[in-house]
Amino acid sequence: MNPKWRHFLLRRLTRLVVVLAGLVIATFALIHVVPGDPARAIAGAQADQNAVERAREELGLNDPAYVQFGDYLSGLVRLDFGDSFETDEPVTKVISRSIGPTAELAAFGMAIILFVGIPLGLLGGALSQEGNRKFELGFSGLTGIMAALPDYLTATVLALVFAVSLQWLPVAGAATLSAAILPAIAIAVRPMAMVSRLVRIRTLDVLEQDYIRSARSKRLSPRALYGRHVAPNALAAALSVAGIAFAALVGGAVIVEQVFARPGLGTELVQGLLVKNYPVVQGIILTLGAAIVIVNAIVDATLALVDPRTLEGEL
Amino acid sequence: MSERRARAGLVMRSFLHTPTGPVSLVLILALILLAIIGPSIFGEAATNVDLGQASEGPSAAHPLGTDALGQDILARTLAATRLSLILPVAAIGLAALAGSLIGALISMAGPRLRRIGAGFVDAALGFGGVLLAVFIIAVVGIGTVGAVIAVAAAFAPAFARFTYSLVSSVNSREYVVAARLVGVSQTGILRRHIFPNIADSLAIASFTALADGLITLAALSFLGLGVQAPGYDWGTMLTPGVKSFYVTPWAALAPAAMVALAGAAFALFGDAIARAVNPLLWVERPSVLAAFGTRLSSDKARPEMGDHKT
Amino acid sequence: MSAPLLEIENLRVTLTGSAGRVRPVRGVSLSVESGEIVGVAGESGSGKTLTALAIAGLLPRGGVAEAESLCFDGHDLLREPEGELRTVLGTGMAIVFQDPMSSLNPARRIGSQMIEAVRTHKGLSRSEALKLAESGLEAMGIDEPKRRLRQYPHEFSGGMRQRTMLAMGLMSEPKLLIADEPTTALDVTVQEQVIDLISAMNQRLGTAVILVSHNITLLSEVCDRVLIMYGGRIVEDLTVERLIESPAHPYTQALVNAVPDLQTDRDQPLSAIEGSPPQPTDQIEGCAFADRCPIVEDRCRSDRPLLEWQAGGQRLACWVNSSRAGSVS
Repeated sequence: MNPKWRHFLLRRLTRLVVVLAGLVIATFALIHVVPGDPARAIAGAQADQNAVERAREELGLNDPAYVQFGDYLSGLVRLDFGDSFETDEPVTKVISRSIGPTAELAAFGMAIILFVGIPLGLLGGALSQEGNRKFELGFSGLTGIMAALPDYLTATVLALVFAVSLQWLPVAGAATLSAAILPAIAIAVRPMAMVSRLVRIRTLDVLEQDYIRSARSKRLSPRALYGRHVAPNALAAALSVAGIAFAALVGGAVIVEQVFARPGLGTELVQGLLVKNYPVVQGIILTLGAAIVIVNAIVDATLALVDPRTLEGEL
Repeated sequence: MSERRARAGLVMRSFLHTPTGPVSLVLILALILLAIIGPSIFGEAATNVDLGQASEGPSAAHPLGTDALGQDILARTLAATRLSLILPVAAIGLAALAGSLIGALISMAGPRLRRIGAGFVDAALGFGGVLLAVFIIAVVGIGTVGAVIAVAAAFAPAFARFTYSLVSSVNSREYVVAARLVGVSQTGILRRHIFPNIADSLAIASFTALADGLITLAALSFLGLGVQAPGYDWGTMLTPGVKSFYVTPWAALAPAAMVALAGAAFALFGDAIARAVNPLLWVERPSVLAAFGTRLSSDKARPEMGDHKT
Repeated sequence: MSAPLLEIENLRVTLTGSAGRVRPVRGVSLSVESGEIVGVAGESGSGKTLTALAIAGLLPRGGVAEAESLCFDGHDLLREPEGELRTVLGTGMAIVFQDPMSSLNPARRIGSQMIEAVRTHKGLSRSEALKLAESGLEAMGIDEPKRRLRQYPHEFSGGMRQRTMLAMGLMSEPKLLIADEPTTALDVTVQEQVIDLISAMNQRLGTAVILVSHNITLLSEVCDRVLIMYGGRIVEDLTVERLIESPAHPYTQALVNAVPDLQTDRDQPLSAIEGSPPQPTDQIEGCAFADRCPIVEDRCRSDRPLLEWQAGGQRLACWVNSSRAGSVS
């Protein structure tokens, strides 16, 4: 394998591990940084001292910090995130049954961003070429508005129009695949608008470059010109935000699941926060966080594939 | 100094010429006005529980209908303006302050500290606003204060990254290098050379961030993690509103629309000012978007594709 | 007498940009025979680059070319539909630009970029085309051509990239090579290499060359004929011999005199032309060179001299030095 690649992958992997480690430490520290007494919060304000003590024992809060951390770590390795305070079932079980709906949303959303957002941006760039001022303003305006719409507004309107009035799509739950369409659109609208704006700008930028002029001098078909020369260079811009877009999708999922009553990780997380169900909160944040970090790493690697110059001298 | 004033006049004039500038300014002023007088005018109607009139549709007495508790939706929405605006402003203000300080410190630190700091900011950035905010809320606890701190913490990394790039670019300019050679202290340089140069960019970026912060904070309230009863902002109004939107759609649409409107107003305002200040440089939203799009630590290592124009 | 390879009558280029409309090329008529090497000389702002780009059909955004006729290899470039011209231009003309650092797509390997034109227009298979590219690189003096084909542009030096552009153009055996300041961005030693390669291309393949440069010495080394441009027009069209011995236009004379050689007296100031060339935005009555001309007459300021054939076979646009041989061009 190309030694530069090896170097790059190694460095990327190290960074990944470091960030994951930080994430683990941060989620561990969660319980301990909370103001007030977590044991009391669990046991309830009315509970007597014994109940609070028992809660403290259960939480392991009486052990010294490093022991707690050790327990936490060994638990993680065994994929044991502890038990939910509310239902006493293992957190892993909670996660595994809720991850499906959320993953569906994220996948659909990402597909929309990549397969609608990017081509839209490319098209927008190609069409803006002739200095078509009106088109430019229209595109900017439309995507600007789309980028400003909060997820829940889009979600609500979509639900109202398509689920309730027209009854084309289901309004709640995650029973069928089609139930994911509306919420996926809702969370994808904003990142998609941002991506298409970025891609359009980059496409315009790329079209001004000298190597496009060289390519034009070869009199290639428009498809070859755009496909082989413009797109790969403009795509790198889209890729650089793909990681951010994914994080936005995950954040959006947390919100939109409430609107559509989807039993996903988001609903569980919010519920957990409201009742101070720390193990669940920890577990879900860890899962979501890890997913985001890993996706970011993959995006970086893909970016290096598309633009080989990133392999040169990374920090 | 009069050069500054002349420049300000020029900026104002080009601002007035942008398609979105004056409109967004008017919107923002209207919102501020609402925030100030809203609760006093509409507060009564907003909290007037009248179960006999619950969940009514639009009528003469209640232009947007009533919610599940019989409260007038329009009045409630307008009265909620104060809280819905103040909280994000506080949060973003905090984020800008803390974030820019951290960013400036990182960029002026030694190379190793810089790498660690930059990596930290990048990691925080990679998480995305909502998740970070949720995490912070898990720590700080739910409620108004929690929500403000959470949003502040969620946006601070973006400001840090933004400031870092700005300061780095100013740092390498000749007059700063000269000042340093002459022996001006770090704080002196910060104060006299760096801050004036980045202040306007920061101010502009703050508006874009404000739009996002508004949306995020409302989202937190919507989830029940932000403003708690009896207080109400647009976000909290959404929770029961969404549940009953088949019956009374306006209960959700009104506050949601306000959030979108306010967000758009701030964003467009920031855009317009940016364009007015330097039409050549700022083609799109200023770098808070870019802050979310590139990584600090590989700033130098990732030359933009095709950036080899002579 | 066979038809010239390239024939242009009254070419004008208009640029529309944020500064309004500008006409940097104001009426250029020229012809190039097969196998000729024609140089185009002038200072920046003379319109020489845009002339070359207009011929190649590669004007930037906002640029429009008009002419009474623009014929290449028997094809009317202005009136024939683009689809039909594609192959003619894609293989008949090769272009090398000024900045080698940015002329190649950074995201694609050298080999894949080199074979594009020849695969699109001549239908070669991938392996055939790659072999051709390999021998092209070798002919340009690039070592390890097979390995180089798989590399990316950022792994090549400036000189190597320029030679690659040449090799790329050569692959389709073009009839005309347009080179716009091909050596300006390169080191002196590499400049020689590139010019030698162009000359070799001309001799071995019979490729005609339009060589644009501000460096008149360079042009005099390799060209058969040189066009001198000033203020968006051609002011003199003469053979290299005449250029070295007896240029007629005062501007040409000044250009030639401005080049110091080993005989130049080092104690005297360098001979430079006083004043500065006109900007494309200037509207000028009369001869564009009038303000800087040492032999200017009143007539020069009011009437613009036309480019006319002279007794010795060259073309000249000057009232004072003209031999008045008559007909228009």
